[in-house]
Amino acid sequence: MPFRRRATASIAACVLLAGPAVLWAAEAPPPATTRAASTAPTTAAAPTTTTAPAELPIPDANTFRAFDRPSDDGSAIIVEWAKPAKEPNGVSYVVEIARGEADFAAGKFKSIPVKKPTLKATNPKYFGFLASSNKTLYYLSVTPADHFPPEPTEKLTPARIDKLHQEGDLTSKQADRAKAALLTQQVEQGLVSAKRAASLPTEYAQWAKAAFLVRWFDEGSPTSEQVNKLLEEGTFTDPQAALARAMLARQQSESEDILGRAKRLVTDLKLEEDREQEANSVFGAETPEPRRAVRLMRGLIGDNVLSQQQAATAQEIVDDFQPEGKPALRLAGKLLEEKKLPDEQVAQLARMIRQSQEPDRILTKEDKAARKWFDRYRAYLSKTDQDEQKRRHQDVDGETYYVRLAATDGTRMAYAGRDGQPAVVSARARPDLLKSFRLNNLLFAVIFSAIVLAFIQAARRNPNLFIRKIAGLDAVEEAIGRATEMGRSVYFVHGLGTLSELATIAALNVLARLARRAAEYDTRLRVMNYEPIVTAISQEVVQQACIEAGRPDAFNADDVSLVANTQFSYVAAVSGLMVREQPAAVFLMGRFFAESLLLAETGASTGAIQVAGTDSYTQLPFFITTCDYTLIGEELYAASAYLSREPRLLGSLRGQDIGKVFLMAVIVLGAILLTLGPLLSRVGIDVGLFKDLFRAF
Amino acid sequence: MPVPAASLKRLAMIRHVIYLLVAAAVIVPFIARLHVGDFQPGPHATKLYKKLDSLPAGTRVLLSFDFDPGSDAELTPMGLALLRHCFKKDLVPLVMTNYPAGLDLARKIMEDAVDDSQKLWGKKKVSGRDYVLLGFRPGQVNLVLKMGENLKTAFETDYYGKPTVDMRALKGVRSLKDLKLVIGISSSAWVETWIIYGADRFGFEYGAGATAVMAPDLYPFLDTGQMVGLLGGLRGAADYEALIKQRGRGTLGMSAQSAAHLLVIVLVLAANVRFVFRRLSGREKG
Amino acid sequence: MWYKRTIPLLLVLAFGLAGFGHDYVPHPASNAFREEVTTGFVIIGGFALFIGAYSLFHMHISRIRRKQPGWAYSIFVFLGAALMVCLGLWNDGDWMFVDPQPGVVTSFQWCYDYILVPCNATIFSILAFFIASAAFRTFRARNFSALLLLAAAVVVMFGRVPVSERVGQFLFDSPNAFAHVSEILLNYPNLAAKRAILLGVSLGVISQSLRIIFGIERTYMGGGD
Repeated sequence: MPFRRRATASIAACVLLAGPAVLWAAEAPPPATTRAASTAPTTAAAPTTTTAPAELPIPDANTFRAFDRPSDDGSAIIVEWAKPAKEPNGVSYVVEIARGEADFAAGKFKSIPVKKPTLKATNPKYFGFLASSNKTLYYLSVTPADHFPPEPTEKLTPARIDKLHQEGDLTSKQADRAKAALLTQQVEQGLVSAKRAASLPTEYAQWAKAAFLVRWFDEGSPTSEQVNKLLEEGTFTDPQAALARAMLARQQSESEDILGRAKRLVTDLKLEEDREQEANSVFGAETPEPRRAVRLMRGLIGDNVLSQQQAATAQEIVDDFQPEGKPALRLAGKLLEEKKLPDEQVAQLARMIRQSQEPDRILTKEDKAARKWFDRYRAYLSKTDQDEQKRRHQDVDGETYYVRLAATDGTRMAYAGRDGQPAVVSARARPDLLKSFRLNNLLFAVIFSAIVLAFIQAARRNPNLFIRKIAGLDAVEEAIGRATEMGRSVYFVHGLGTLSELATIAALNVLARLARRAAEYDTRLRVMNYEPIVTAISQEVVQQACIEAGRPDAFNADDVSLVANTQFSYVAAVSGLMVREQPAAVFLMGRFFAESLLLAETGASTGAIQVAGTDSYTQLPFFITTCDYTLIGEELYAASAYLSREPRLLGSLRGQDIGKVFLMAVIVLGAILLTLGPLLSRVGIDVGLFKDLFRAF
Repeated sequence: MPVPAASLKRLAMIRHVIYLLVAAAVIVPFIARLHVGDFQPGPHATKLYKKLDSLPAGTRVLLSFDFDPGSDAELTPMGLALLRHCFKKDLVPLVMTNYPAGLDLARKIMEDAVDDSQKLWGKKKVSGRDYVLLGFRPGQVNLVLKMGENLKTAFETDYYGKPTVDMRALKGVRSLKDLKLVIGISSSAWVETWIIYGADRFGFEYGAGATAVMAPDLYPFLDTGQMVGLLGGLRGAADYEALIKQRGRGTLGMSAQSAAHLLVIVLVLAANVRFVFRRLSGREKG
Repeated sequence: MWYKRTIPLLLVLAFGLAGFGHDYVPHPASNAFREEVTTGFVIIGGFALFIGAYSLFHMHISRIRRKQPGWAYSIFVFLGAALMVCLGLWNDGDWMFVDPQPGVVTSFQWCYDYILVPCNATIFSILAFFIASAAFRTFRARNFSALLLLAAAVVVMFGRVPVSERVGQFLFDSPNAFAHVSEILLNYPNLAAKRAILLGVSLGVISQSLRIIFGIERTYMGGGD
């Protein structure tokens, strides 16, 4: 007893003393790598002014700093400055960042407007809770790579493929394959003009021309003038130009048709004021746009003001404007159907437009294989490019940057400065090694761990530790005995947990003891597994238990097997086995989800004695109502200690109990303090300190 | 405790009667087309509705359908109602899943919503322009973190194999930081994962849909403001359908759910009446 | 042999402490370590699937060979597996003897949508029946706390259905009466109890993790203490 009291008192003392220490450590200002008020060389590109008219506040250069923390990944620098005593409306700030001090004079800097600056106090996670100065300091987090972006990685072009071949990344055969695949991809995407297409095999050339037309129509609003220009440049051949003109004419007549139909429909309607205005603006415009007419139609459909027929008409108009697929495909198809093409060459091109969307029909076998390989290679390359880009970002962020600050009202700028020169500060971003806002969390984790380990050690000297009765674990013997008498089997159901879940590991501990008893009594034990790794471990555990019981022949690997790997397949299999084999005892230990009641109720219907144990608290009510004994939450974790009575394991339970006492004390104390908060603050006691000590991030 | 054989037989008979009654309670309202009538949507569903409704047309909204077919009955109606709302408001939903088994389900919900948009509001929605079905990628939490850096490299192609890099629907969306709202529908711990590794880190607002069993666990997130709204179970789906004024499976299921709940209440009360009666008889005899 | 125990224990210690430390160290190296470990975990899980499949098939083959009760069901295990494997591998999952067409549901997908999904839903739907029978059997007012539990269950169940609005309007002139009480029960006593269990579980997790990390608890390794 005295030991317990001493231990409790010393732990409480540690926490009360350590708490402020943690908060102080978390409050410690980050190391500043500020260079204060350096003199920038005066050149012709000197800033506007450092002495401003009275109404524009000049930021105080003494409070202007830049430093390299906090940021988790070392990608940002923090710039801070004091909020002026008087800050008129309309004043905002500009932070200028450059790679070198001389760059300011040369004009090679980036400006970052800060319209609504943020106070440090709004982010206590990084800047601490206690510093009152945070309530008057603005801060800005600047990621240098956003303003000085690194060079992007090279796009995959034939030149890059050659480079990769020279570097040894690709053999010459692979390089040829890659270039061929790239070319066919470019043809498919419509990026190959008629000039380039001339060097391709005939069918690919035709394909290239067709795909080029499709892309050209897709990308913007094509016009006849553009067709003429492209023909002159040689980008279009004559058949392409002829087809383009025919498609444009068709498109124009369709637009006119849509506008006409929409106008006729609207004329017959009595519209509300806003719709009337919209209609007037659509149809009264100098060049009416079909898109706007269609939007009007959609609006009318949504307003539910149209009769069924009118709604059908409006819907037709909408559908006709936004038909599925690409416009060029549709237009070419219509022209072919109506036989409105000037000659056979153009018609062939129109047919190719339709085929161009199915490259598998055009590509040769070799080219298909090349594409398949190329897609895989491109995926690999994009991963390495991403890593390279990330590294470049990190390099950019890791350089030293120089910063200036100015207040502005949109027309004038007032720089923070000294002796008539703007103050320049510098900083270099570096990644944090420790999340300082989690120090409290770390401290509690370490203290609790130390307590548990201390009790484990202490239990070696004093092995007679009391542990309360856990009925569910006491029932293990009873259940196996019952199964032996009835000559029936015992089922152990693992649930859906994987080995990374502690409930499964705790269940394995119970399984070990259970298997040993079952082997001693010569009772058949069947273990139902859901996960392959757990299956392998369960087999080892049961086999070892049989060996320890002196009955190695009792182990049957088929009794400890994978039953199913999906939730309800598992339920169906286990339930079916339960109903057919009618076990005398069922142990449901581990992590369960929706299947818990299905399994437990099926077991109950067979008349088996059921013992359940889970940390899934959503399933506990189902187990409690249907099972004879239930281990709730941590009772499952205590199972190994309880069943083995090993002093070291019992000692850890004692340490756990101390932690629980501590939590209870904190909850009660916290509830009292926060309830009395306003009263206590009047006498100068800040309960925020207590809150912040236990804040979690 | 173990039960004698005669009692087992009697219990089995009672059990079968109960099963028949439950079956009748669920099936009859569907066959007889019984409707529960209008009802007031709950406050949590209303909050989520208002949040989504306040977004201007063209806003990109990420919906993560993190459930497998086992939870289809409760969660699919929610997903469908949310997508319908997105299409009604001309928002651009980006749909993904963290469950490989749920990929096909996500596709079906998406396609149903696209068909409904055409039928209900005459709005034809085109993949890549008006919505994106991103699909599934492995990685779990790492995927969320990757999406927080660059969404288009996390999903280089959509479900249909189209590259996302120039996709119109993803214009202006580089990473999760560019999204205003993310909604996660899940039958597991994915809701919390999105909050811890997503919303708290990348600053978007988060709404959730969960099964009726899991929903109460998520109320604290509503209190702290880490969630802007919550749909709980089939009732949550029905609430949302009432808010968007489009009946769906959620509303249809309310009649069966009401009948089943009432039946369970009646059975429990009946059992207790019998229990109390027997106890009193026993006392009288004693 | 000493290395059969010592090396795994050292690995557990190293990875356990690294995992613990990762939560407090934001350095990119720590994140990279976590990513690599997670990827490795996925790869190991993939290999473990072979162990599971072998175990499953071996068990069912034994049942068929020995004609144990219910051996006919074991045949379906092989039939089902063979069907899905064949459909998945043949013609890239598409229908047999047909050219793959974009947008058309493949045969593999069809089996998933129309066989597996309805089977899963069927098993899940049994839950409704089991809840009713479990509730009937166990919700008895044996004592005062059981009576409280019973009353709370009835109120919460009733508050979740739209019918309660009508009844609430009739009895209390407030359609949301039952829903409101139901919310209070779920938000306060229910949540408090869950949190209490969760606190205990969390401490148990820490204690158990420490025992595993420091090698005090070794049953999970199999092969004896």
